[in-house]
Amino acid sequence: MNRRLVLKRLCWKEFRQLWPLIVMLAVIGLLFQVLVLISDPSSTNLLRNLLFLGLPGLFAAGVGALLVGQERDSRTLHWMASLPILKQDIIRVKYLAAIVGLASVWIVSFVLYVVSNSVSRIGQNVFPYEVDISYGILYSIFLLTVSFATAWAIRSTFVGLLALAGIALAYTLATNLVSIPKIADVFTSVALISVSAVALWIGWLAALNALAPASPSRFAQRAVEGISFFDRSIVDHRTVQSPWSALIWQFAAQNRAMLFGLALLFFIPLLIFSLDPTHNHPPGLAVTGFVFAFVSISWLGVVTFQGDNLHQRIRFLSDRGIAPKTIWLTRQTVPIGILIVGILTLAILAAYTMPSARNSNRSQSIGLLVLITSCLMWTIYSVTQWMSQVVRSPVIAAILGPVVAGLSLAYGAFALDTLETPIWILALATFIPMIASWRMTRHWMDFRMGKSFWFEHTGWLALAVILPAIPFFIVYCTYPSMPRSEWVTFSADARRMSANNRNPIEINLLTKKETFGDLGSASDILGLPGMGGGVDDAEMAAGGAAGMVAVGEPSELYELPEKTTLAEERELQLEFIERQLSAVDNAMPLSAYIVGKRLMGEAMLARARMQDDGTTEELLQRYQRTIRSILRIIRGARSTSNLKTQQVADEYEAWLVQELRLPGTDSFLGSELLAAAITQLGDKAGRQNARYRALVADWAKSQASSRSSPDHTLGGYTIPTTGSGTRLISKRHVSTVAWRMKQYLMASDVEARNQAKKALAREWNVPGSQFGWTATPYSMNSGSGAPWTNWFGDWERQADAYALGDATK
Amino acid sequence: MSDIITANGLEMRFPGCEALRGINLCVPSGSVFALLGENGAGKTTLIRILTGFQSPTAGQSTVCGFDPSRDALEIRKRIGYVSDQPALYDWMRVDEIGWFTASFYPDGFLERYGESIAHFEVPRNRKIRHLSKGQKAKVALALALAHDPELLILDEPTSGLDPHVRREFMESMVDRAVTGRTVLISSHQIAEVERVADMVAILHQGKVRLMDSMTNLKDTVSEVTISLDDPLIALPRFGNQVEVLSEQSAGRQRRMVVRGFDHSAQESIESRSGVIGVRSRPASLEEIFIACTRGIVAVPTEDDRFSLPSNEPLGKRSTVVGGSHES
Repeated sequence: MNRRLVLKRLCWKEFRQLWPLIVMLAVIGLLFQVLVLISDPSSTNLLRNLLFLGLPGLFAAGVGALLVGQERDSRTLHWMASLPILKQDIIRVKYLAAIVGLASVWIVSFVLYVVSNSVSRIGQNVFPYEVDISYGILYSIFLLTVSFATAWAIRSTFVGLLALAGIALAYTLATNLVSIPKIADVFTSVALISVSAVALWIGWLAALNALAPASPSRFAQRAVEGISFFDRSIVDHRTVQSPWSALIWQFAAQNRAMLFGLALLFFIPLLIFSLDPTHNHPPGLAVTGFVFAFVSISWLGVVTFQGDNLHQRIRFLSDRGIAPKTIWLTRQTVPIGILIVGILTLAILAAYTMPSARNSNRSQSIGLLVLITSCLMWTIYSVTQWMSQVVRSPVIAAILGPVVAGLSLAYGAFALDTLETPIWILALATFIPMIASWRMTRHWMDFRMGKSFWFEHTGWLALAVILPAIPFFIVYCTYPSMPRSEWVTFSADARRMSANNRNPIEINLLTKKETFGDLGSASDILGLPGMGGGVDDAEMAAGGAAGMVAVGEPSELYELPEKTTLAEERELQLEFIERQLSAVDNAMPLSAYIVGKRLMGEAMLARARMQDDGTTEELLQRYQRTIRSILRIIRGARSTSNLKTQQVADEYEAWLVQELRLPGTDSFLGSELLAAAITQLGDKAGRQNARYRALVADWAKSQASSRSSPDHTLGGYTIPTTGSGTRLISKRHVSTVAWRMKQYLMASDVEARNQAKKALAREWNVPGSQFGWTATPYSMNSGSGAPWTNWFGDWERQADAYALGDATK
Repeated sequence: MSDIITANGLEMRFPGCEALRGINLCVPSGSVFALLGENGAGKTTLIRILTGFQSPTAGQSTVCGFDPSRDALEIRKRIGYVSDQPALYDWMRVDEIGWFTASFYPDGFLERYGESIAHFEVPRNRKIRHLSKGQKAKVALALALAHDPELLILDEPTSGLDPHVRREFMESMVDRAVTGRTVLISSHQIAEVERVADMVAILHQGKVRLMDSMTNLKDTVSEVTISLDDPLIALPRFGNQVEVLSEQSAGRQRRMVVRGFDHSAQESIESRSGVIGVRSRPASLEEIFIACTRGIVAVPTEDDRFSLPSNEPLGKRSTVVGGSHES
């Protein structure tokens, strides 16, 4: 016998057995990554990392069951042992194949991770987020060795997998509870290596024992006689049960070890969290608890049909003409019962231990927790019970169960978040797997795996996938879009105007103690690049898109001297604002509305004092200085290409119109300043041009931003949306709004303008009659939030009248 | 006597395989009906169709008056079925599985099951997974018989049973038929089937090659040996009423299995020149089976007649017979 040839053939066999699992994991990983990329590439770091580490972990956990358990179930292990091959060679090759397979899965996982990161442009680094690879590799080896040890030592593949999960849970709990500060990493690594070595040794001994000739033992004799506390009493009574109770007994007795183990796996983490009301458990414990609860529910679904799949046991009932509906219901009763008990336990524990138990929202919080948990549990169970009917191999089903459940939850989250599917449709979709398994139970019982079986299952799967996406598809197909000709015009105008686009410069009244970052609200309002707006840093670095603007840093910070009077402080602030306005002609108070309030307040105060106390040179100067500053701000705003700055200009001009209508303003301003104000207000063409330039520039920015920008924004304005999945067509929506705004802006007569306004209001999702003016004109967030609602208002008609020299007060 | 099973033009096509090619079958109530055929002849497929586990590509059938495609569950409740690899809950004990199965059948199941188990001498408290292959077969048979079904369908039921039990079991099938119950047996144990079967159908390449009562077969099918003085001599044709099921040449001898070979046919052959002698004896079921499955090439026909073409020499017939070559 050529031993080398034997080893080669054994390796070939093992890799042939592993290959489907590796391919399957790669495909599933790819699906996950695609889903992640479509949904939101920038905010799913945890999911990516879990996937990166999860695929090898899953392989390592399942490889023992696949190479040992499945062979034992199909009795090929026994046949192998009968061949003239060294037992040690059989075992060695299995371990070798598993290690090589694990390395392959690591490579696949790594490639998927890197490609996904580069496609989503998260960053230049391969590992933009902290991933402890060495720990991941060690942990996967730990799982692999324990997986083999349990597979060799435990006759039932399912129970072996359960034992693996239990050992992994116990290990994780132990290391979390016995974590030693400072040497935690070393301790964890040493512990993992030690446990892996022990598992390898135990696995080796168990393998030798499993391949050795069977020897009778007391335990085996007991198993042969089958004395069990579980079933003895009812059988001895010789009372024939109803079919229902007999079938439920059969299911529970058949899967008792699994059900008991899964219940432990589910309830132990739950109890640990609940018994610690302070929630001061180590950080990894929560993830561990979640993972094990997730796996236990997945396997609960897998148990539903797999217990009867093993050795084609279900044929026994099928041969006897038991109705499929009875079989289906009796398979579901116990697992669903366990789920209900789990949910009730969670509710009771939450009622006693939740931190919010003492506040008034207690019942709401508990209700929400129970509802969300129930939905998650139901979804996981529903899809895994379906999968367990479709997949014939218990081992493959056990490995696939958590993956399919995870994929389903990811798709659910994607549908909810990105496709914005209504909850009721998602809830409906979770019942489809139940309907599918109900419908196909007869085929499953009869082992009729023909075309009709696969076609119907594929149909149900397609329905489950498509149903949550239907609202989005409807929106996608019916959502209005900007005409092509307009798109060409907008693009050409954006390119043409980009050379003249100017950046607004922030002016403020921040003290030195504050920082520019404290203007956080500015970035929220503006949505400008570099401040969390629609364009990311990479685009900025690359030169940005046409018409892009940036907010400049304030030239200086205001410092309030100590021991100043109120009058001195007001004067210092006015000087500070004037100094900033003199430095650049496009400075304006974008966010700190205190600047506007200060200027307008100063003007109003000066006017009141002059009207009440008589005009003094000091008051007159102060009044004129504030009006001059306001005019500078308006001019600066009009010179920039941003809808926000245009709204600033609108609001200041509106205030100025109101001011000019007050008695005595002419004399307070003086002829020169009055002429300047009238000229500014009467420049209708300049105003319209500035608005159009801003509209085009902001539209260009929105189109240049990444597809998955967080919301619908045009120039920093969030456009409310209706309908599912509008986030995925945000660019189209923004373009439509921009086109409607242009129509409104360029309307030639009142009738056309009113029509355009109605259409725009519809697209912006605001009442057509809503007017953007509010009681605090300096506030940037006032009114509807739609800048165009200020356009062509009464103030603008009044300003137009100035241009015609028809200003009447 | 009404037919408990009827099949009319049953066809079953799998990708790349035609398992059944127009099966016509009638199984009378109260009979022991043997379904014979070599491996892959379509026996299990036919049984799966009759029990509703498989929908046929074409054709109709009834079992106990029900259509298996629509009323499979009704059929399965009424019949006892033991497949070639009976599925049993291997984690249950022998008594447990009886107790469990009794829940699906009328009263009396448990008692009859207990009697069968005792009769078969299977240990009651042993788990199924620890039983021998023969013991598992006994448990499966006991379960199939315990509700006293009007039709018992057995697919290779006695494989794994020892000769004593096998013989005893087969004879018990006759007892069942006497009480008006019907038994459909698919088996390779031809000798045992021959002892108990009332009717026999032989399947070959998805078709019923022969179906008749056991009595008729024994009376009408003979093994004929014709001795010739020259091995190259061409034999003249038989009469219209004689069907040649198979023919073999060995030197100067022609050995044939024929149906309807009576005294006059023998005299007619003996009188031909070149024929030294003709010997005939009743063919055994095994010989008939071999003749139907090895001696002829199946050709689709309307009525499955096996009569010889009268104008062809006998020596060529083994390659072409099987069709309805009426002379």
